[in-house]
Amino acid sequence: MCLTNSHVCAFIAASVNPFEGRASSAAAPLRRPLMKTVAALCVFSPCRIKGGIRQPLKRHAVFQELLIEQDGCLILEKAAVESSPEEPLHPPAAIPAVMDFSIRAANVEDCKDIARMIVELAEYEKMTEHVKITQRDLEQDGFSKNPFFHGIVAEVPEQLRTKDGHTKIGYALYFYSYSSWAGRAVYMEDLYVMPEFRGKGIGKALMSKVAQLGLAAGCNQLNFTVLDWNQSSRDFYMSQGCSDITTSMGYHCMRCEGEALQHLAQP
Amino acid sequence: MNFKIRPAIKEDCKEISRMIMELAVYENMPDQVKITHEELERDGFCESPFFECLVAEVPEEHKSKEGFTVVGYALYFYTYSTWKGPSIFLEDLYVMPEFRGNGIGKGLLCKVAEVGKKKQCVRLQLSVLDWNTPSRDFYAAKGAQDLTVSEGWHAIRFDGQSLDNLANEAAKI
Repeated sequence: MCLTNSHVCAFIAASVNPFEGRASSAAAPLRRPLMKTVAALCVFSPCRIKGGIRQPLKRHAVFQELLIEQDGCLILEKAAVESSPEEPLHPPAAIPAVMDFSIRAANVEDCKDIARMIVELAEYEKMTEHVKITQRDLEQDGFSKNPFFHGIVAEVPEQLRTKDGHTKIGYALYFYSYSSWAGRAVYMEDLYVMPEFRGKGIGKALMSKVAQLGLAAGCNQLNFTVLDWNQSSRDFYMSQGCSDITTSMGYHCMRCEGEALQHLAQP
Repeated sequence: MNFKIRPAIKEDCKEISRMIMELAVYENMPDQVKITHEELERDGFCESPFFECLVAEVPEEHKSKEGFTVVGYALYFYTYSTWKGPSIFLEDLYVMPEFRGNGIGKGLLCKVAEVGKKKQCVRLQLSVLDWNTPSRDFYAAKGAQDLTVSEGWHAIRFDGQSLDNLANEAAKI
């Protein structure tokens, strides 16, 4: 059986929701013991949207994330899966036409494009000189046994590639964090779409996917930061229903680095 | 005052949970605390923990008036800056009021920085409430920059219904 993402989300919400306070499609008792078996599959099913109708791809499920119980914890693991070209996909549903794009988990080969887009984002934020990370750093830090981050990439088909030949035209980079008040959380470090592909729903799709993955991992918050002058981004986020907790609650973001951090770290 | 700082163990979660609530009361937001020691035990002491924690302990002869010897904690986790690399986020730093002014808070903060240094973390980040002048002064004295003031960064959050709504959009992709 081929699962749609909506099937999977409902299954996950119904099956593995021992956390207080989260909405679920099934009534989940508070602090219910975790399931002993493999809990759910979260299958990425890239699809093309052409002419307003979702066209199933012949190949799908570039990878799958397994939510498993281990040592009393929910672990999100990735496994490459074989996709079958013959496997029927769910019936296409009519969706408003936006643009032909797909979203999938980043792999190590994407680091070159992600590094490129990190610099583009820094240029947009007028902080290019701050970028010290290289493609190699991303490969080591994101694709080792204990990665510091996870990524998702937005891709367009060849015929829509940029003038420089890029088909990877957006990304989101996130990691799991923790709120001592609310529990598991996900932090979205970067969200970026190349300028010529904006206004097509790609940014929203990337952010929604991070939210979906976070919920599947049992997270109760999605957190990130935005610059106060970045009105278009702030408007975009507000339109999606988030809160600006700097404005509403007075939280200030603080940082120690360089010499100050070295000094603190002295035994 | 004689105190020691050590990594938290699973059995410390009840004390950490107690102090999380004390910190929330100090920050005027006790109703925001939704998790208990059970979630801390599950999320902090599994194979891939969501956080790490240090606790500050005093000897029996210095225990608090209620009899507690675990009198402070620092809860943190690893993050990533796409500009600079691995970093640490200090989620909570707390010392019980009667034990303040003895260097315990600074001890906890320095220990977190030391842990981060061993993992090649290049930044230590945290957030502080704008009205919390003692804490803001404490961090400023240690060389922390206020990025909200200096660079205009705002913290944004989706939770509850707004998070569910956002995630539901992904199912349509």
